[in-house]
Amino acid sequence: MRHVEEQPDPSSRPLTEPVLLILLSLADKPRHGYALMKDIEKLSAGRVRMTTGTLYGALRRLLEDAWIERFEQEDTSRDKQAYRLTPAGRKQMAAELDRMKQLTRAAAARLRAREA
Amino acid sequence: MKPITRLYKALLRLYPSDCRGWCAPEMLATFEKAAEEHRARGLAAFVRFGLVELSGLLVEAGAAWIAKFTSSRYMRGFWIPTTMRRPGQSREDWCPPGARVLSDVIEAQKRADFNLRHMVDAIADRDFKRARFYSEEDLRIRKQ
Repeated sequence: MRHVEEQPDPSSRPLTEPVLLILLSLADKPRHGYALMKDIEKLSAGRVRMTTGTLYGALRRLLEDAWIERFEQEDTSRDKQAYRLTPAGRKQMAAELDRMKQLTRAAAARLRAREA
Repeated sequence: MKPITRLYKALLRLYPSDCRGWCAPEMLATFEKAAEEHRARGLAAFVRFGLVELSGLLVEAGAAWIAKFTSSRYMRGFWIPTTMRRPGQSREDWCPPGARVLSDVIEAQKRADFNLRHMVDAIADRDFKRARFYSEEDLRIRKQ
C-alpha cells in the first residue's frame, strides 16, 4: 500500500534572514561555503556573521527544497564543491524581494501620513 | 591539525551520518579558513569565534537530528543527488553509498508499479495467463 505524506509547500514559508542572505549571495554567481560566509558578512554590512553550523544547516534545507544545487567547480582551488541558485530558488528570492518592497512602500506611506 | 580543529572535527560526529557524509569535509574546510582569519585578529577574537562556532555546531547538530526525524520520509536519511552523473562516471563514484538505497528503492517501486499496472490490465482483458506472469514477476521482485 502506498502512503503519500502531505508536505507543506516550502514556497509558502516566510524566508528567514540567513536563507534570504544565502539566496542573495548566490544571485550573481556560484560560491563555495567560505565565500558565502564572507559575502553574507559583506552584504549585511558586518551585522550577520554566520557560523559554519548555521550556514550548512541553511544550505541543507535549501538543497532539500531544491532552491540551490551543489556542483563541482572546474577550477583547481581546494573548495571544489560550490552552490548555485536553481530557477525555483531565484523565483523564491524575487518573490521575497517583491514582498519586502511592498512592505517598505506601505511602511513609508504610513510614516508620511503620520508626519503630515 | 590545530587542537580547535581537532575538537571541531570530533564534534562533527554529533551530526546524523547521512548529513555528515556530505557536509562534514566542507564544514571542516570552511571552519579552518575562518579560524585562520580570526587567529590573526588576536586572542580575544579567536576565543569568541571558537565559542560561537562550537556552540553553533552543537545547536545545528541537534537541529539536523530533529530534521532527520521530521522531514519527508523520501528525504530522510538519504543523500540528495543535485547533479547529474557525468558521461562515463560510475554510479559508485557519483553518489555516496547511502544514495544507492534511495535509488534502489525507487527502482523497485517503479518495477512493482509497472507489474501491478500490467496485471490489472491483463485481468481487465481476461488474459489470466498474462496476469499470472505479472503476478509471479511481482512476487519475484518483492522477494529480492
